[in-house]
Amino acid sequence: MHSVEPMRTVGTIGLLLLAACTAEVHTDTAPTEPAKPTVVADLRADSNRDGEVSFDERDAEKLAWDAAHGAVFLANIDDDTRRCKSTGGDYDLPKCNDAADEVVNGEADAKDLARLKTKPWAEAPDDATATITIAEGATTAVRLFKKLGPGADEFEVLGEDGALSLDDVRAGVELGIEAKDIVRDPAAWDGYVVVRLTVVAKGETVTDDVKLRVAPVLTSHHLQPAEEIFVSNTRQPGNAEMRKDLAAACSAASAPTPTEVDEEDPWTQDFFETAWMSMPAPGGEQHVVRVNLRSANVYDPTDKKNPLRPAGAFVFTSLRGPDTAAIQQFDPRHDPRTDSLNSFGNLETIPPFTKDGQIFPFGRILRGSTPSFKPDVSFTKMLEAQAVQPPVYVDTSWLLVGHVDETISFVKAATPRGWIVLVNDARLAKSMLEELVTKGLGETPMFVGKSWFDDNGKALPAQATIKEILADTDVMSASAEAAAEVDAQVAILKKEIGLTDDEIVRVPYLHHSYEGASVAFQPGTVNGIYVSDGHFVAPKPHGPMIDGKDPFETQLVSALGKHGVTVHFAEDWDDYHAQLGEVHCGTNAARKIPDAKWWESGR
Amino acid sequence: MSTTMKTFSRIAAFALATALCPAAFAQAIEAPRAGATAARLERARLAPEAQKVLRDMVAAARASDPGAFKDVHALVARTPELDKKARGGKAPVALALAKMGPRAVMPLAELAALDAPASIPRDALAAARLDVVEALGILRDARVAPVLYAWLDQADASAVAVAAEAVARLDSDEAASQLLAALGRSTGERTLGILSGMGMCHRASIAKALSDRLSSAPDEATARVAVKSLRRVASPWAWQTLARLDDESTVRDVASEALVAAFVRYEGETRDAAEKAMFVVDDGRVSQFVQSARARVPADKQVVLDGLAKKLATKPAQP
Repeated sequence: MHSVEPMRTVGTIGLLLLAACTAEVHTDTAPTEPAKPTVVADLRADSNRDGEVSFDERDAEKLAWDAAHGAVFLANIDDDTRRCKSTGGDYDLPKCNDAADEVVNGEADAKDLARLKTKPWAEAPDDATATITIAEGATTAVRLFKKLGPGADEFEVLGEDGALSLDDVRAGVELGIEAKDIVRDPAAWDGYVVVRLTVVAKGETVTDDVKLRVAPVLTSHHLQPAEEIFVSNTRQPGNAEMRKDLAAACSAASAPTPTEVDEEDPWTQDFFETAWMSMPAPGGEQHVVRVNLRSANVYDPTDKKNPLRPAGAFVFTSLRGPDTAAIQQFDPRHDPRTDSLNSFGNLETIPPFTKDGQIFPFGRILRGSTPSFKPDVSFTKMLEAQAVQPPVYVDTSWLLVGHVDETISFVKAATPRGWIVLVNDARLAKSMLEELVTKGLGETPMFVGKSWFDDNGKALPAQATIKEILADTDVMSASAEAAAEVDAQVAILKKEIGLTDDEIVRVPYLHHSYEGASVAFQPGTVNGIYVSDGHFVAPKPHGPMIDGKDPFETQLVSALGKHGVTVHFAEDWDDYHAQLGEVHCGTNAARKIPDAKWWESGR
Repeated sequence: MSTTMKTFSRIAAFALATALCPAAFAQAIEAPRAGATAARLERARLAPEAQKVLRDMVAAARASDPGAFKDVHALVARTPELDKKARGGKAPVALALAKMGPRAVMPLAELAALDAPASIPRDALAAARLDVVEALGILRDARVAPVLYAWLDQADASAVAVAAEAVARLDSDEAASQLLAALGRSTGERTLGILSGMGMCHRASIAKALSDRLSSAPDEATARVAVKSLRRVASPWAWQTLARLDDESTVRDVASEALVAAFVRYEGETRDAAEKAMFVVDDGRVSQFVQSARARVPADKQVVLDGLAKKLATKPAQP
């Protein structure tokens, strides 16, 4: 869209010409105006999202930004040449990325720049001048480069005044744009940018604008095939048992062999989250930059250099690299009492769905948060600002650890929606155990051979009979509360997703209380990892053995088997269950980027 | 300081803080960061006579089962190490201590109220202090009730919450009296601490006190704590495990009526909490209380109560 108007670019020449160009205002979009401006000012971006910038009708719709139109660019925060150091304090590590300098760091870096082009004006008079400017609100958020030659990475940063040369005006110029960061606070920058070409010639000033939006960061859901599965190697025996079973399950499921993370922190799910951002590429493809988020767990707010959970540095020190970015967002002053909510066991992604005509092709984020018990506000603000996967919040304040993965999970299924929800059901667990008592099996022990904190032979037996467990006031009290709390979580899921009861698989396990809050008493079998199509790795429940079978294993195998999902059980008691977590808490996955394009989502 | 040591210190500091900040309790109180309060947590101050009685019991226990002391001390000494690898930085040491069973009672009572042996590192003792009290509560041994009562007078609100729950677990008339007395002399965050722990004491007097607190229209945080304690004291699943059932119907009626009133009085999170509590309590008379409340409220609240009644009518069947 062209317009001719008083110059907004403040420059010496502009000021001199200001008086001359205000009297005659022409625009090619105003029907009452007699003629097109003679000055050519045409700036294009890939507004039709075909991966190319063209000067025909394809990219003519330049100021709209909706499901069908609008150019996209990336926060160029990966490290294509691996120049970033893997050492440094928590505040230093994020400072290095490809957008941290004014250099295009090679061809791969150049690919991260979205392109804009000015239309050549071969007949431009000698007095013609031109500038490229960024509309207010985004000036510090983005950087423009000008292509200098045929080499893929021959770029230089556009000068602060945005001035183009006369040759540039005549020959046309290719620009590259990068965001220096993702959107973190919409009040500071909403992710949109309007780039303006201003051409001054023959006493006229003509401007042309194009609107772009920075790609949001999207999180992965369980239906995206796992491309890499992570598990911490803490060098502890219990951890080794879990890794062994996980590896066997992955092998049986034809899933990737788990990548072991050399890390003392066993809670691999918690300290980072895998995500991505993308922009259109030629041929209907998308250019993807993976983004790994470091958890906003503040372990020591008094440490001026390293306040964060140490393991989270993994996203910078090990994962950051070509087409892989790492980010963190936290307020060191956030409430330490709710810090656990910042772990990514408390950030799951509801798979794609449609509800009341609203399509969520990338699903929605699911987190535990209430007005009085919530995660880091600055992180939440950043998450919500991505806009494409608007979060659903449920109450996890009743849980000791406070994570949504303690009670809810999602797996692919042959249903109209394509997936089902696994939810904890303490009521079912109690019924199952009571039924066994009715059958005269109340003295059957559970958790046989398991112990709390096995200490070189000083094990504390966890074994208890069914009757003992049903007579345990603490277990029953916590389980009754868990049942009601999970009902409330399910009610929210039903309301937000439109779930039906047929799409919910009830997973039985009881809770007990500790420090006044609730945690799985039996291994929390919802808390598993979906490693490949039809394969779910759950913690081994160690229920009562009845005729050589554990009814809790049988129930889960049967319930998921009806949906074509095979369950693999992993031994996680010692280093996970006894430490208030389970298999999902101790694993992570980088998943295949979906073919769907976020820019078509209308969000 | 080496990198390893530095990392350890940081995690340990966090663990210590988390240890003293139970999540569910923490949401309702504005207690200071617990790391700062750890130094103030000391053993319970027993009267000299009670101290002597306890010392005698501890000595007798040590003579008959010295291994129990060794085992408890070993686990307490490992608390920082266990916390280090625990999710959220705090291992469930209390549960493990309690799993040692009755033989752990006197070693724990010694740590809670008498001098700790020098063999336990000071940082381990600090990290495990509340675990010790919580474990004593889980073990429900009336012989050490005075130790737990003394803990009710700790200055730190988080410690008071743990102590209140430990006392409540004794589930006796005397424990109820102690809790109510402590509630009466408490203020501010310590009041919240006691309210949060009271729900494990299944006595009509406790339910009545919680109901009274709710009917005094306290602030939302206090109301939520009272609501959660009410659902606990009136939980039918818990009552199924109890030997003495005298108060059950009274407790559940009192709780249900108070919860309906709270549902009407409050909005948002507190109303949600009251609703969930009603489903936990699952009292046969709750629908009657809803209808009674409906007759006394304006039209907008009648609509809300109608919604609640509908949900209650379709609630899941309890096993």
